[in-house]
Amino acid sequence: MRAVIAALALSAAWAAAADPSVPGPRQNPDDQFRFFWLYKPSTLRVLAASGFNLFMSDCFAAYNPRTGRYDARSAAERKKWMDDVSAVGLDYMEQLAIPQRREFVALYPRINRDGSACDNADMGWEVAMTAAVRGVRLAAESLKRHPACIGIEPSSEVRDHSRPSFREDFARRYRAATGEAVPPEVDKNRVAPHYLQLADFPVMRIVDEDYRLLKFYKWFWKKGDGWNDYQTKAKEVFEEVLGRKLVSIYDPVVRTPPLWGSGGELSHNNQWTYPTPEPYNIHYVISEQQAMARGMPGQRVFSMVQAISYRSRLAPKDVKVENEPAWLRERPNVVYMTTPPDIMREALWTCFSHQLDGIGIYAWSALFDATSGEWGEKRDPLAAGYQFTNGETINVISNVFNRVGRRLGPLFRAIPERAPEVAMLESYASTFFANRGSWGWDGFIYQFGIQADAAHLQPYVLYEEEIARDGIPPTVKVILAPHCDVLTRTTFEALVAFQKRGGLIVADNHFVPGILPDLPLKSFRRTWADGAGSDAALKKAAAELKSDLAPFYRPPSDSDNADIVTFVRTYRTSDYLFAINDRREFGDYVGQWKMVKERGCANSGKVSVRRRAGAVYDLVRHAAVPFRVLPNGDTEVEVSYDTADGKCLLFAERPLGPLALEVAGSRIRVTGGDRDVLVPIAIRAKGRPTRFAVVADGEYVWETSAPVEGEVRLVNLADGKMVKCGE
Amino acid sequence: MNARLFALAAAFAALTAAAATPQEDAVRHRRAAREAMSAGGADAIERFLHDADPGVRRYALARLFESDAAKGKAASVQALDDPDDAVKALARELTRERKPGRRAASPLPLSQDPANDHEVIRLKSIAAEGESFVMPAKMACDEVEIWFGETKQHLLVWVNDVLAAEYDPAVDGARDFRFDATKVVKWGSENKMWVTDERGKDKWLKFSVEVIKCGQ
Repeated sequence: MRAVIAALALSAAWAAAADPSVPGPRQNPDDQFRFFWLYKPSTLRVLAASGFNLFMSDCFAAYNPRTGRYDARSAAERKKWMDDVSAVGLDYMEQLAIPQRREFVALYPRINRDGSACDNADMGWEVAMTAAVRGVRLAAESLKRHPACIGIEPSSEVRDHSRPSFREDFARRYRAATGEAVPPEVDKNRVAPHYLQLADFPVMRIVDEDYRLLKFYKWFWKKGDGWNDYQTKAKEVFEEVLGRKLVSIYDPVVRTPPLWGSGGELSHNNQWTYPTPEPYNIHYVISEQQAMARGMPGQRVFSMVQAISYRSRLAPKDVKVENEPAWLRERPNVVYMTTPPDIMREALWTCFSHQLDGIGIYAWSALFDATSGEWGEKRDPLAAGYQFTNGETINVISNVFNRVGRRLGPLFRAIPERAPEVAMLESYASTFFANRGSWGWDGFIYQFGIQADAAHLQPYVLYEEEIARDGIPPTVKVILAPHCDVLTRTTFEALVAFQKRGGLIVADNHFVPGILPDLPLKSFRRTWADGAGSDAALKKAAAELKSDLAPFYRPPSDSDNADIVTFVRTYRTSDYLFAINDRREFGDYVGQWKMVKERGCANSGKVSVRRRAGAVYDLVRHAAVPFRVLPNGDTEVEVSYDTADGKCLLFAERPLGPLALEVAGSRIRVTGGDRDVLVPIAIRAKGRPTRFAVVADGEYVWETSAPVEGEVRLVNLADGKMVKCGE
Repeated sequence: MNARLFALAAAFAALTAAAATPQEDAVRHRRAAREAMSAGGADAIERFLHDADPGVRRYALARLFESDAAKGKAASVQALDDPDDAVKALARELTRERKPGRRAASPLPLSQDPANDHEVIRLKSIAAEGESFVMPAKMACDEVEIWFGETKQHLLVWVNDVLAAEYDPAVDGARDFRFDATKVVKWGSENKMWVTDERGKDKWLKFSVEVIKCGQ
């Protein structure tokens, strides 16, 4: 019973409370942001119709660091654009690229020990920070407090090339922070020398938190390179000038060591994912983002799907195939091609599976044909770079957003993530001293994360700092530890205690030798050129992982079909099961190269949750569905799909009761008796866009801007039942 | 009565043991080994150096080294012949003398590594496919390294008809690719090298050959 109470308490705690003063979408503050990055003004209406409610761009102006001027378009032109944005119901996020522009980096570069310059701005250098913040202030002022601007992205993709900088003030700042000199081994590398090259490194690879090189690299990634402080300052300046709280994001936030602080004190962190070859790879990326966010109280998470795909990963230019697709003749030099539509559908469903405040798409020129001139730009189809190679992908995005994202966005944003049961340990000590880490997008740890998600284990990424601050969460039963060659002493001691209390550790041959893992970690080998073989190897490895753990641990959801990937979130006594059909085959878009199975196939199977339910609802079809309680107490539902697609099923303790609707003046109130369920609803009131919302704790209140007139309709999006009020 | 109870308990134990999965057996064995090594001293640990489970052997080696470095070092020398790669790797690690200042696993080429006290002689820096390079007459050096820079491709490298190195981003991560070519290069003569992807297709890549002279 205590475990259940602890799990419930943790489940609530895992949903980091958002800062209520940070805005949601203006049209519906409870909704998720569905944002589009890079755009042309001509596509505003298409984006709004496709279900987006926010776009971000830097197309309005640019800061010139040489002149110190902000070369904005005319104030009148900019105001008109912003008004147009508002008119179609979109919000705007200012994308500031000030310190990442070539001219800025040339003026304020990082410096190597030999005096040569690096290709990254030295934001730890006060002079550079002052210049950048000046640009930020000018950008903020140019917006004239326009209400359409709800957010800011201070910079993007700036830490991939971050390195120690050997200006005088670097050593001074480090000494001021720690009282020590920069260790002599530090060079322009982003991590420490390998532990085998360090004479004073502990033989058992357990490092104390005050070990000189650990201390240095921890400082460097948190404070030393200056980027985290820049993000915070840029946000503060923007909020000060605009006079209100804003949404603020940095991306890609986990292309760093697994160490708290990336992105500074922004309201949200973001990361983009290339959803190939497995669209559900986003699961693991989001888990890493959530781990990062836990280091910044109140910070929440966005996720962005790349609508561009590396051609080299799908259809390499130097490989000739038979039955060449039309795009190859028309755009033979494409480097980034349009992400396949069925892959995109699955990727969006993977995003829906998690508690996110925003879901984004990048980029314009892969989704709209820029060669036609129709959208105000005439791009050469023979050019390299981004090209539009599949017109169906934007249709899929529009369909999924309108059919699912808009209706259930407030629900998807509200359902908490489950308390963790299987944790994936990511060690910054191993990243520093054994050159490990996923860096947010690749490598052994990342591939193993995908495998764990394919096994329905819902891995919770656990940073060493979280262990140091909070301990290992008490609900964790299994710890997966890939590439943990080196650990901090605190982590080591916590793992020893974890094993003593019966916890299971699964680790590979690189694991710190002073702990005997309970089971060996078995992964798979991906061969990029062999999409079918890699897919089979991944699914086989996932099945083996699940089977190895079966005597000790059962995941909270499951399916009898390896191609149906499940993920569950829980609110009090209700489960929300996301079941995604990943059965795909080689099609005729990029399938000829046999690297990525891009065409979704029909599929069916049984999915289950580890709960005895009294009713199950399909939240996309808005109807109750048949279910079966198994002898072991699990509840099982049959599902079928026409293609790669998703479902969201609500498993409730008992059938939902009726909802009541009251309208008084400008207040619409919905009440119901099911306090342990988040019930998605739609309210239709005359003269207003449909309001999608969630009845939480038995109540939802909508204070409208003016008295409500005429008939009001309420639809319960779980069971499809309608209630009317008024005329 | 006691005998009957004992028989019942034995039957139950046999039944549950028979029903246990190999994973349960493995976990049970490792837990027992862990507890036994924690309870006993170096002598208890030494018994597990020859355990059938290589994970237990590796752990025993580490525990022995911790509790008695001299014994641990001696056991590590013996374990250099262990049939399991992970045990062997740990044994190598425990018997190896750590030299400060080398960055073998660093993502940077050694020639750009000012922290290290050594001389780097760059012999070649070209773009090539099926390229040959001439090594000078034998010189006193610690290592010859061939460096390709950052890559995300799966690559195989042949030097003088020998598969000298493989780089798989899925396993190795997106990092700079370089490898120790000391044993495959021929001094004072021409060396043939070519690089392919995993399908055997030739790749055109920049590389450099670096001779590292340590212990200055």
